Amino acid sequence: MSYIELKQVSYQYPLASEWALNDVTYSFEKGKLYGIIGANRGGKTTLCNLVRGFIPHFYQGELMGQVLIEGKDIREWENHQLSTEIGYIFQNPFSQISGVKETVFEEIALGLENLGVDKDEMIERTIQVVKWLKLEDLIKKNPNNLSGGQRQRVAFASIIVMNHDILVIDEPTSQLDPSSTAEVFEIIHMLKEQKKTILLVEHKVELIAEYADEVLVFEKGQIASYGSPADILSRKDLMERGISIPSVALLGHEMREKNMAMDSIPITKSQALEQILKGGKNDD
Amino acid sequence: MIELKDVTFAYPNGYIANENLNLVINNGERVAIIGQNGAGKTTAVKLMNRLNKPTTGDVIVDGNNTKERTTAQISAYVGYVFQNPDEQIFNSTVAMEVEYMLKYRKLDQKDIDRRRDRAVELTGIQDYLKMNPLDVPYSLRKFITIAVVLAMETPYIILDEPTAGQDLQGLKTLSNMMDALQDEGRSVITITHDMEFVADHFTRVVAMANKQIIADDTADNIFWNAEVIKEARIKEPQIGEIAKELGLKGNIIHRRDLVDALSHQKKAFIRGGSNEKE
Amino acid sequence: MDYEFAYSFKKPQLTNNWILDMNPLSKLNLLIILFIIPITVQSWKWNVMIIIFYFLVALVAGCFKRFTRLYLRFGLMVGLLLFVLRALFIPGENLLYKLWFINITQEGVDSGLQFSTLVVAICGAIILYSIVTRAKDFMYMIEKLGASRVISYVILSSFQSIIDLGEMSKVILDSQRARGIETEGNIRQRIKAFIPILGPLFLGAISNAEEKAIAMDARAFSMPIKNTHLCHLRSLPVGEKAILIAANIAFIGFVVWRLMA
Ligand SMILES: Nc1ncnc2c1ncn2[C@@H]1O[C@H](COP(=O)(O)OP(=O)(O)OP(=O)(O)O)[C@@H](O)[C@H]1O
Ligand SMILES: Nc1ncnc2c1ncn2[C@@H]1O[C@H](COP(=O)(O)OP(=O)(O)OP(=O)(O)O)[C@@H](O)[C@H]1O
Ligand SMILES: [Mg+2]
Ligand SMILES: [Mg+2]
Repeated sequence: MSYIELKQVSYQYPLASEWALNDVTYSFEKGKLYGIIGANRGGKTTLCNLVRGFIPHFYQGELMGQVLIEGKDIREWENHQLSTEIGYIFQNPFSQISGVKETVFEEIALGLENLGVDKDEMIERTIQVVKWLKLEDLIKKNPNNLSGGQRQRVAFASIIVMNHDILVIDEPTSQLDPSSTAEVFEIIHMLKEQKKTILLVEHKVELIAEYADEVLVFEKGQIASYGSPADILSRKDLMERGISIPSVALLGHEMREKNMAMDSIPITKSQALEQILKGGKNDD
Repeated sequence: MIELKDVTFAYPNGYIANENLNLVINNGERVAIIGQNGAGKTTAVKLMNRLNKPTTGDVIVDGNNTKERTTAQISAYVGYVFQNPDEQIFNSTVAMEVEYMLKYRKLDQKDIDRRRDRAVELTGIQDYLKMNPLDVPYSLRKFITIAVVLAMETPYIILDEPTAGQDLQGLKTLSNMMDALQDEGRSVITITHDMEFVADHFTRVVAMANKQIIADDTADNIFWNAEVIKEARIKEPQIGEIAKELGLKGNIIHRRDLVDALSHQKKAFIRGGSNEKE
Repeated sequence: MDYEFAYSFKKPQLTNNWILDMNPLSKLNLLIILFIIPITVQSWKWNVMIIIFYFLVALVAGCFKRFTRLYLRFGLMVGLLLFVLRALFIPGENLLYKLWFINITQEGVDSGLQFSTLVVAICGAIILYSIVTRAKDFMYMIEKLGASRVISYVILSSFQSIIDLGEMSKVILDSQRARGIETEGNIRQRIKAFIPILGPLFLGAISNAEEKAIAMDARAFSMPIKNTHLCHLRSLPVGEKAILIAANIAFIGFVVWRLMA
């Protein structure tokens, strides 16, 4: 059964002249990691707002079609039910700090306080995500005195500590250094192993290629293509439409153009290495 | 020329964020600053326009010690685009935001129009001039703040994480813009975590880790320096990783170089024993 | 991992300064007393004494600098303004000084002194409370009194945005300086730099509020259940109880005495 279902959904922000989403139909299944890519202003964040129910619960504007979460229409969900069901990590890392907590540790625990988790469990769960995200050195710092990337990691920790079944994650690594980016993807992968359903918006297609089960390409408010990472991220025509594909895929295409052996277009580094080595051997 | 001479900086709460920085940025030069989160990159560039005042050491801009100047005075030389655009924007339309300082400086209307149009063109925000900057998506908001700084036409421009959240077109706009600025002889200092972007558009790269500058070198040298990569928590572009694992020589970080190398020495690298690594 | 720090939340977090560690309600009680005294007494000398007393309390609490800075900025500025306005414009019999059409009279000065010290004293009680009470203790207290999370958050963040006004305007002033608006020179330049930020201070507060509201909703702020707390307060020590009872009795006695007199 589909877990999150969009049926011919269109949405227009208040006062906007264009539709941010235009006739989107898609079913998300339980336990999968969906990579959502696409050019700026394609409607990715709008999709996130919709699935989390901020549209229509918070944003006015015109919504057509149906959004079903676990079979129930988004309009019928109470907002607070959604906040325990779906975790949301926002695109803008600078607006997510509560501003009322004095240390990073307390900031991360804030969501658990609201969920009524008792103190001992709260401390243990907070310690857990602090370790996951390697925030040990930051726990005593004031959340208002963090660097951009530190803020983004704290914002991420503050949501995953709440342990939702569904996670909507909007560009979680935009301010992160490459190592932290890789670590965050490891954590997302681990969360998937815990059977969570994850919608992940990301421009770093190399990592989407590595981890996603399905890829959705958003373009002008529509799902322009969807399918397995191997099918989507190997397509060179995406580049011409302003959507990047992994550099190893481009490498594959270029090698093909030079008539070098390449069975299939690689989308990850290990696939590329494998292909190159195999190609080399065939030549021998 | 901007010069940091043995600069150390501590925040008011006592936390030391920069230690013994020494750096020279020449006129017309393009420099990328990379390095781990919290390394002190933002802190360091804010020293250049005296938003951060050195605890010890000196910062010299075009021969003037910044000690003797205010940030506002230095702003005629050094333009800074904040990491968080929301800290910068305060007018109610994009056009007003871009023109604000030009009007404040009482430039004549013709000059204002010229500067605005140029900044808007370089950043590609033509379609959004009448909108409220707070209503446009994050990626675009960054370009608005860049346009504001470009309109000031300063000889030095500092961009703090302009690549964050940008799509292909956004990155292209950025690189074209940097080219145009360099043609005009301006220096561009860019902080970024996008290693492909660095590899493609910068020759000089400064790497920071743990409050210090740990390397100041060409992009390919930096990406082939295992120690720097580890310390600064960066990562070579995937192409570089592949070249490394294949045991190819020549500090390759670009696709065309890798294709060239592969087509020429395909057999060599196979015999070179990279199979055994697997 | 600093487990000692993580597990320190199991115990009440004490600072070992008896004023800071006092229960926020006790502090509130005492400051309400200080708040009411100047209103009942109506004497500028008392007001000044109470103002001096605030500084002493701040000193003992180890927050002298922070208190003084905030108090000078808000309290005394307001006080001075009120004094000048009253002194200049309240009519009276005993002329002290004549400036064109303005008559400064003894009555005006008296009334100005009386009124401005009263306002400054009252402001002082509020500012002192905000300085010696940790925000999280206050939040905890009003939630224990039955306020919902959302209400305590709104109170707290507006409470903080007053304190943080300095912080927030620093951010905006930084952006102004970076563009070339002089903020570091004489008072005239500062005021000039401040005018364009009044708008964004206000607007920024609003747009932040909207984004914050959504962000906080993602942290389950709207849950209709009783929330728990990472930090808690100690139960009222006997000594503190005694001080409170004594202070309240003395206060009631004082009021009764004033009313009789
Ligand atoms: N709050 C808003 N009010 C009005 N229009 C909006 C608002 N937020 C987004 N839009 C518009 O909706 C469209 C889709 O924006 P959305 O933020 O969903 O794109 P995105 O794919 O997430 O882009 P990005 O990669 O830049 O984050 C854009 O045209 C945008 O201008
Ligand atoms: N206002 C402040 N007060 C105290 N410490 C601060 C303050 N701002 C930043 N820091 C600390 O200084 C260090 C350097 O911060 P900075 O913002 O310069 O990092 P950065 O290299 O720009 O990182 P990022 O890539 O995440 O933006 C960090 O450890 C941060 O926590
Ligand atoms: Mg988005
Ligand atoms: Mg930074």
